[in-house]
Amino acid sequence: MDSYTVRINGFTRSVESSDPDKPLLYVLRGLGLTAAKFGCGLGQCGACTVLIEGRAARSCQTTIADVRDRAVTTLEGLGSSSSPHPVQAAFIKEQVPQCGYCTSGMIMSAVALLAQTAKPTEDEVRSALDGNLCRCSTHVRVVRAVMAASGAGG
Amino acid sequence: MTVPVRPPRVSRRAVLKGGALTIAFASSSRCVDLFAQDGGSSPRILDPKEVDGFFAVNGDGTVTVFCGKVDLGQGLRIAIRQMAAEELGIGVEKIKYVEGDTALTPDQGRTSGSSGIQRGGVQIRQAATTARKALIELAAQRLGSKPEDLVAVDGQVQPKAGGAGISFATLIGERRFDLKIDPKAPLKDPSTYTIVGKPLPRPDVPAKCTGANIYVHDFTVPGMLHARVIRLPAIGGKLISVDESTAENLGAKVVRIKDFLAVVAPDEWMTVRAARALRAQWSEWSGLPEQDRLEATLRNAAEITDELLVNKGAPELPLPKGAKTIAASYFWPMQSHASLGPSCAVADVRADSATIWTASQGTHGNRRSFARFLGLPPEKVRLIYLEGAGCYGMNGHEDAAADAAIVSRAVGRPVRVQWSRQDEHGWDPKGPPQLLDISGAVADDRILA
Repeated sequence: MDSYTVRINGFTRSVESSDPDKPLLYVLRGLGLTAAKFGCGLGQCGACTVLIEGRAARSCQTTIADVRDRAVTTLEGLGSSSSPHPVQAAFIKEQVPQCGYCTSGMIMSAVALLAQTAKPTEDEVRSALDGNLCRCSTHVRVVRAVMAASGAGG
Repeated sequence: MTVPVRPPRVSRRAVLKGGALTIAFASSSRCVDLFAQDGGSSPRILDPKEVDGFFAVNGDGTVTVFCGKVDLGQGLRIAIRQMAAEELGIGVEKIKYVEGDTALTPDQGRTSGSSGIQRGGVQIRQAATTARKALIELAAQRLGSKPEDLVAVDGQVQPKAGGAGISFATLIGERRFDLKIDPKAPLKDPSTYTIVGKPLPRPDVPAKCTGANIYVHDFTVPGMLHARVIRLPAIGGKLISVDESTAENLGAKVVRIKDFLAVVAPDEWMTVRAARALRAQWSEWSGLPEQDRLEATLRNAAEITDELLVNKGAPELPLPKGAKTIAASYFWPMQSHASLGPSCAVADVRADSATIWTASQGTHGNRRSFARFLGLPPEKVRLIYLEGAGCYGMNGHEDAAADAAIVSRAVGRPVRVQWSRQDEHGWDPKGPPQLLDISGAVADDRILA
């Protein structure tokens, strides 16, 4: 059993795993951080998206060994209902989710985009989020919320 | 540094309160308090013909709605609250809500075919107007007024002319209505609506945007094990042999019941690895028609029944000269409903009872199925709805619940079964194929047949 030091949502944690290839998604969910969701296990749906050193990454395709001594942020680490992150606040205001299973990944991808490009165009938003699938078809509201979070929404 | 990350949830505590069983599922930082609003100390009435089936007026002035239809992401949680609040005469923020729990909510049938509002909501609205009438009559006795001089507003009954009213809680808080729903109780005039028709925010949205919403995929109970079911390569195949050591070497236990094969472990990733590693031999089977011959197969299948949907005009007559006939065929193949998250369920099957947490569209109907399936009396089986990954037609949630129940009974522990993406695509209940033939005749811009 190896021990991995990972900084999760601003706190340093020691995670035990006998398998260095254990996906980060299972590590996070095992810690009770269940916002990141299992959708496909193939990196194709985006439901498991988290931030690693501020960049969007598929936690189902990232191993525990990959994040040794690195900083991981999940949806829980962004904010809460009483004190939401601006992107979370925009998603709430726009009433984006239906089932909401994709929402965590959508918000994490949006946060990563806005960190790189503070004032994206709608096309840039669509392009940055095209790897995040929503089966309820909330995409239009997603784009509206991300644009609003960037200050460009109307 | 110590870390305030949520521990693996969820601890369970059972509290006996005033003779009613109140069970809360709680973790140190986040909580699924499924039964906190159990409507006071009386045992639940589950009869959908009774006002008490749908409503409990609580001592604190709130009203709990017990809804047998479930929110699959379509917004019933706010819509039903609005319908109930409007018809009762109380603010929507004072409505608490319980959904799809066979121990707490009446059977309103499956949540399918857009029936949530038009059947479920309408049933609850009629219960609400019956309740409002009863509340006004109770207040009339107390105030020495005529019912027609009183009105229910903001959770109290008050004189229309103004003056002090009596709160719903004072009139009937923590007590039963003991009243059948009156199908003729008059509904409010829609032109007077102040709550229905307003686009109010959905109460589940903030939690869904912050990671606090507990989906069935996120739900755990103490002592719970994880399982994966190993699917056979073709539906008619039989399990010939299995090398259990291939899973056991990875720390998983193998459960084999006839042709049902699963691996179980305390850690979810262990089950994923064990399911991949497990060496099993299945017999071959190739009874399904080829996909690209599906339409032809359906046309020739003896067991398929034709249904004549419309037959207008005079299709049997010889068509006049110049008439034009038009024909078209439309074919839908089988399609997966393909929810974003593969199906998942948690089951705790004991010798004499079973509790199943499921994203089923029909917990009540499935209680009967699970009772038969597990050989238990229906009253000993409880299904509790927890939201899944959307629903666009019947997905595999109920099948995952059956998987979890089988494995839980086999290992004597609560078990969570999470389907893989391959399980969902390969084995979810598909939308059935449909074939539609249409033909007609027109002449001089008239439809002949």
